Amino acid sequence: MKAPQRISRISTLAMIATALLLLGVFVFPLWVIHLQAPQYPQGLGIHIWINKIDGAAPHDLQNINGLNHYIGMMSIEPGEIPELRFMQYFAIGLAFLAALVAALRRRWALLAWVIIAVSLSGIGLYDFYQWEYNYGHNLNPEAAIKIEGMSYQPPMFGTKQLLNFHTTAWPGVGGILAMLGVGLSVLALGYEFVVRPRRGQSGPDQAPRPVSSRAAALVSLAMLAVLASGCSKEPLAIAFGTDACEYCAMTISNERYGAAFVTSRGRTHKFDSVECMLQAQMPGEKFADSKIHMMYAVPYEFKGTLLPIDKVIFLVSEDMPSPMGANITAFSSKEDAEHVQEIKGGEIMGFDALKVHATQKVHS
Amino acid sequence: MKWFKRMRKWGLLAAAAATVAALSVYCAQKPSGTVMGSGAEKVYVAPGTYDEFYAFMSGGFSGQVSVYGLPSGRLLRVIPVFSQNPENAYGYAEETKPMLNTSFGFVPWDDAHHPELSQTNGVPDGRWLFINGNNTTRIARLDLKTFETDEIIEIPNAAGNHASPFITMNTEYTVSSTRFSVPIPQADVAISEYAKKFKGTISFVKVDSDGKMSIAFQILVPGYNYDLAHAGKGPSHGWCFFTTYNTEQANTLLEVNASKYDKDYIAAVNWKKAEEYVAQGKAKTWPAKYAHNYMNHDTQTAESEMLTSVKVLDPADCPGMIYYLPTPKSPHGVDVDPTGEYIAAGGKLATVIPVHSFSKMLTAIEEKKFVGEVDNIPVLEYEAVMAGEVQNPGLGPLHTEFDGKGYAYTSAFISSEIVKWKLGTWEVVDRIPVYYSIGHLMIPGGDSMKPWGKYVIALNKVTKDRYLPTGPELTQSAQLIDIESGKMTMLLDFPTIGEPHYAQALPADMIMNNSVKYYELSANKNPNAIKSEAEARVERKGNDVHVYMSTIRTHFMPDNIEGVKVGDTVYFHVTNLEQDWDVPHGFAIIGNQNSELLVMPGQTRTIAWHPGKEGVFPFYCTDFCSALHQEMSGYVRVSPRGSGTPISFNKRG
Repeated sequence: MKAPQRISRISTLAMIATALLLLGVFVFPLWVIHLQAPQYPQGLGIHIWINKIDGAAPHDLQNINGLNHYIGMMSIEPGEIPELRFMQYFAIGLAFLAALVAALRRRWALLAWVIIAVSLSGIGLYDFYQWEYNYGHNLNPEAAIKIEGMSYQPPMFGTKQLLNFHTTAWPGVGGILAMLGVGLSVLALGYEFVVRPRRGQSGPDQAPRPVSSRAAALVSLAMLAVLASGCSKEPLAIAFGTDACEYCAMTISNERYGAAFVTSRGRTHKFDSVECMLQAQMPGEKFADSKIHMMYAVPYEFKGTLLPIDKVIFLVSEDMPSPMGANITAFSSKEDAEHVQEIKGGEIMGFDALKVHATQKVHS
Repeated sequence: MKWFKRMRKWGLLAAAAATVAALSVYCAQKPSGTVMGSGAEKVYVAPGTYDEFYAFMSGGFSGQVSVYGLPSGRLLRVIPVFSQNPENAYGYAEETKPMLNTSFGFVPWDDAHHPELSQTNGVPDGRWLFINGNNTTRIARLDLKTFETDEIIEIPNAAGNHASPFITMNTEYTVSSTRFSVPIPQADVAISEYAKKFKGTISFVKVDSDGKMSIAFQILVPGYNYDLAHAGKGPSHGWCFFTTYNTEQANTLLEVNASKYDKDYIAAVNWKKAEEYVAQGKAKTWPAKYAHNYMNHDTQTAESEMLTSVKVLDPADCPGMIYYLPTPKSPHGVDVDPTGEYIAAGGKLATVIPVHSFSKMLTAIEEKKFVGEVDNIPVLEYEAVMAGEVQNPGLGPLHTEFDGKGYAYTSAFISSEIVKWKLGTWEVVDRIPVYYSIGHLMIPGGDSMKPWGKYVIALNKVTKDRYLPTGPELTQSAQLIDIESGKMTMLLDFPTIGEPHYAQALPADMIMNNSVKYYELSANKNPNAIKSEAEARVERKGNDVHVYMSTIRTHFMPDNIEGVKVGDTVYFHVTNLEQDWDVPHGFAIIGNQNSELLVMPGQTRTIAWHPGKEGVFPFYCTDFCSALHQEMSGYVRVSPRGSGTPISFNKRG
């Protein structure tokens, strides 16, 4: 049995850097969520730290909770989130272990650290997603504003329109530093288990161990994949006035119309109208072969908000022209559609009937 | 051939360039051909963008201060100062009522004339705005972080606080003087004994580093009318100048009887000397009764104290403290130029603008060039102190402001114009008609050492046909005039509230970044504040019922109150729990013979209600606060006198 192999100086330095980078979570927030609405031109912000949640400005959290009560979201009470109490010990522990790896300079230690760190990161992100899911879906049925089919789960990465709020989430500086730290350790792992064995530098009297190094590489790759797959299949928000329709190429500007679909790989494609989206999926068109996970449409009542296509109902009325002229207007409720129908006339239909209508209309 | 081709190419290029140039000249000339076009461009502040200057205008007989943006002329806010304001309960809420306390009791109105910005080194600094109450002799101080009235001090031994609240160059003092001489101390005497028994006072009000005002001393002066003032600056720092009229000492039909003499006086007061005399104990302590009201920022409640004495200096005991400068025909304004050397007087009935020289005045004092003495005040020789006279300045010159580039601008009331003249040569270089009957005029920083000489504003008393008619009572008006690009050009008319007497302006960035967005609830020390809905409650103390109520989007807590009886006094102590920008809540209850409340985030305000009949009475939020504002309401049940209904109210949860 050979003695455990020592890791190189560069990997040792990497692990020291990792330990330091991980401590950055005590200086900077892990995650930052920014909310922008017409009444909040400066925006409101939530900073999620390793051990607390606070506002970007004083009272932001209180104000967000105040606004959220209208839609029945639970109040964000940092004191009631146990993770904020214990996550910090994991961070300190990981930093300590990283330093220990640097001190021991053993390949097994490095491998063990990466497995622990990547697992914990994955669990952490999943846990964060679960909290977001809970906040977004677990709504008080007594809420003042209730929209059938609407959930308010904030994004983890990127932007989403939640009623009047344009919500953007990204890792904060602390989160980025921690990711860099874990990334460095994964690179070190790759170096020790793949690059060095190939160069034959893994030790003066040790032959490369291709099997174990390949296994280690596979493990780290798998873990990276776990990390990367944190992305959800929620649609990205349409940036009105900026985004262009992916079918007719015109700028999407009317906030009462718009559509999008998300592919099974999580990509969002945006359109200025339902008819454009449907047209784009016709045989021979750009997205004819796309694997559609879910389609969305903007209901007339809630400007710029994407609702799942099965949660909206359509009014087809000559007096309500839609951006590409198929006269299709989506509504989130049947009552609203009927109310408009009384004034504007036209026909109310579900999505299946609409598909037939829209393709005919655009073709004719 | 080659050079020919090149020539042709260059020729074509030149022709093209000439065409473009000609077109652009044509296009550029088109809009500037009309005054309307260029004026519109200069005053246009696009939606969502800010004005360049804050302008503070007196509300005159409205008793308030209005805040405008320049150059747009957009009214940004009206700040209640001396008058009750039911719009936000100023002077109605228990917390602000003490601000209008005086030695005469509660006085709900005044006539506000001259706003004056605090200065540091002779330049407006954006900390405070002072303004005088002309009728019940008061000076108010407004905090420009909150745009609220922070303090009002009454001036004793005075009547008609007109020459006020002009300040010294480091805001050491704000001044006051009596426009109407009266018996001092007040007494029951025959009015015909004016010349014998009536006196005037000039007061120096000390301003502390935190803004707090106190009367440092008063100077007893002959019984004339004291009209306007301005403090010296630079070399003349330490002096302050006051105009007088009615040196004839008439007590009836002043329009004739006070206009007889060729010359009245400007009183030059050496306040540094006066300070020395006070330090030497030369001041006598006179009994006096005057109110001093100030906002306690911790409790957000105004406190009123009644003071009982004041220090008075008599020129007889204080040689060298005050001199009279003869000045033609009932002078009105007295304005010191940015260098501090020239003192321009607005001899309202004079045919010239007399300008005194500060350095000549010092020399004349040294050389004792006196022509007489009034009540121990030496009168200097006119020719010995005069720097020059501006000839043909328009009829009825009143006030002068300066652009910092060597020019002065004087308003002429009778001929309705602004006259621009050059300091030193005293020649008139430009004039522009204004519509109509201009009183004061204002250049941003135009009475300081560093004017921002971009615009002059005419503050007009009469508008006649300038706006759509609104019955017999018409608006007064401000007119914005460009003074930066050569000849004065009229840019904009805009209506004002009340009567705009004087005004002040300064660049927006000196104030806007300090503006408070809301009050910190955690710092609210109002004894009736509640910090959470859990503390909301109703308590009976004899015939008084205290409702400790909270507001937050979008409900009151409590919103069902029972146990109130006819004959009770109900105090609604409303705390706005919001900690967000621009989310005030209102409170009003049907039939209340009182105002509504408007409560800023983090603030507590109290309104009293005397329910006069039994029934169930709704109250509601008056400031559209959110999507569910209409739902923000509640009920108070009022039971008959002597009924046994116990106090009860709903709680959260």
